[in-house]
Amino acid sequence: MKSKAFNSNFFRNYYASHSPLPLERGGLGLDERRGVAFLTALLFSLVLFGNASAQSKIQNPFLTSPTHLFTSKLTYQENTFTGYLGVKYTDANNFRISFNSTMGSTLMDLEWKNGEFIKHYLPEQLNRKIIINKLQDDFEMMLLHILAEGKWKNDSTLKIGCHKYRFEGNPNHFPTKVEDRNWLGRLKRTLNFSYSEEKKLNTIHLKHHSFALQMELSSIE
Amino acid sequence: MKHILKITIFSLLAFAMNAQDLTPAKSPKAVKDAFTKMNASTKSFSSDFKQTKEFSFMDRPLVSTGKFYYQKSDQLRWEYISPLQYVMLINGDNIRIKEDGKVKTYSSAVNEVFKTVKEIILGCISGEILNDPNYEPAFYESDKQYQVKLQPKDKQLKEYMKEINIFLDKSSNELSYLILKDGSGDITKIEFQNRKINQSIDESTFSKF
Repeated sequence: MKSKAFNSNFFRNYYASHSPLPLERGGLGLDERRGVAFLTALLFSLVLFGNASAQSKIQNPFLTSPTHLFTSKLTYQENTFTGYLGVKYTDANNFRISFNSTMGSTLMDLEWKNGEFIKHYLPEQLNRKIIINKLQDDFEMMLLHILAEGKWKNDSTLKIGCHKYRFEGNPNHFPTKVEDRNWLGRLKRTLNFSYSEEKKLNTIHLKHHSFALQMELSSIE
Repeated sequence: MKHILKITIFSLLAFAMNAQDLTPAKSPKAVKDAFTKMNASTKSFSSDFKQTKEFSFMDRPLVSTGKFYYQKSDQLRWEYISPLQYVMLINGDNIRIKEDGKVKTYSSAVNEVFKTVKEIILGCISGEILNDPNYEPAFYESDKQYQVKLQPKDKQLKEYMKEINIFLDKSSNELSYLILKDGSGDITKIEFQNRKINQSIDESTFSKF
């Protein structure tokens, strides 16, 4: 309120001394109104800029090493499938994964490269849109591709489309928990990270809340 | 520059390894006979194994270890101990898998996928896969080894397995290792260590987890 009065007086005084046109009584002159509009636009853009530049302190744990090997456990309803996941990580926008059976066969080889999703190897049986979309979504959350895509609402909430991701971090600023909620606020997925005493990534656990799918990764030293 | 040097060294090493292993056999019949001899003389086979998976885009391999037991003609225990615990038991048509503490049972008599899995595994160990018309064989040899490269003819199987390479020690006429090239082109090497041939294996090895 104070600043509004100040601004109004400032413009009134400024325009009274500089404008060749007399001010109308009991209202703002044309130039004064333009000035107020300009100031409003400026303040609005400052607010927008302020929101867009909101930054989180969350650090990306995958950047501690260029490659990661995990044992993996995929549980769907009563069925469990174990295997391995190899990850080569450059940044949140560029990484490649290989998902393998326990006996060593590659089940899928996928890459995220500069905004492009590349299927290097995917057997015909798995190459179905519904499966691919779900896998892509889950790996993008687990491997924190979301950090490259979203806009921070504040230092713990990231927004991408209708997804709202809320982060919790440890004192080293590594994420410990990420919640994915839809636009209605309903919890869709939860992601938990744990770390070793040496601050290395230890386990990752993704849980779907709308159906019985879970994935657990444990780091192999 | 560093990368070029690295690639050159790797290429030369690969060439040297290929030059050693991939010499076409002067007599393919001699290689086949060696496998037939191995099959005839092997009643049982047990060993430790080391499985090394090479990723095409990573310079860090994935190494698994475990125990392997085979009894002629269709009993097998393939047990992974580290980093994951996983056991596959083949006993006739019955295939049981224990992973993450849970047991799954399949029948190779009715399940085509497991029928193929059984044929490949047992066929590689016994050498009988050489007589399977579903694979295109090629025979190689070096001073110390025989090698048979098998490429599946079936398009569907080729999507999962591009090549099976079986290596046999010339001196002992024993299976030494397998190199599998999966559908993605990645390589998995399975080395059999501390091999024991024709030693008695308790029957429960193939029935109990």
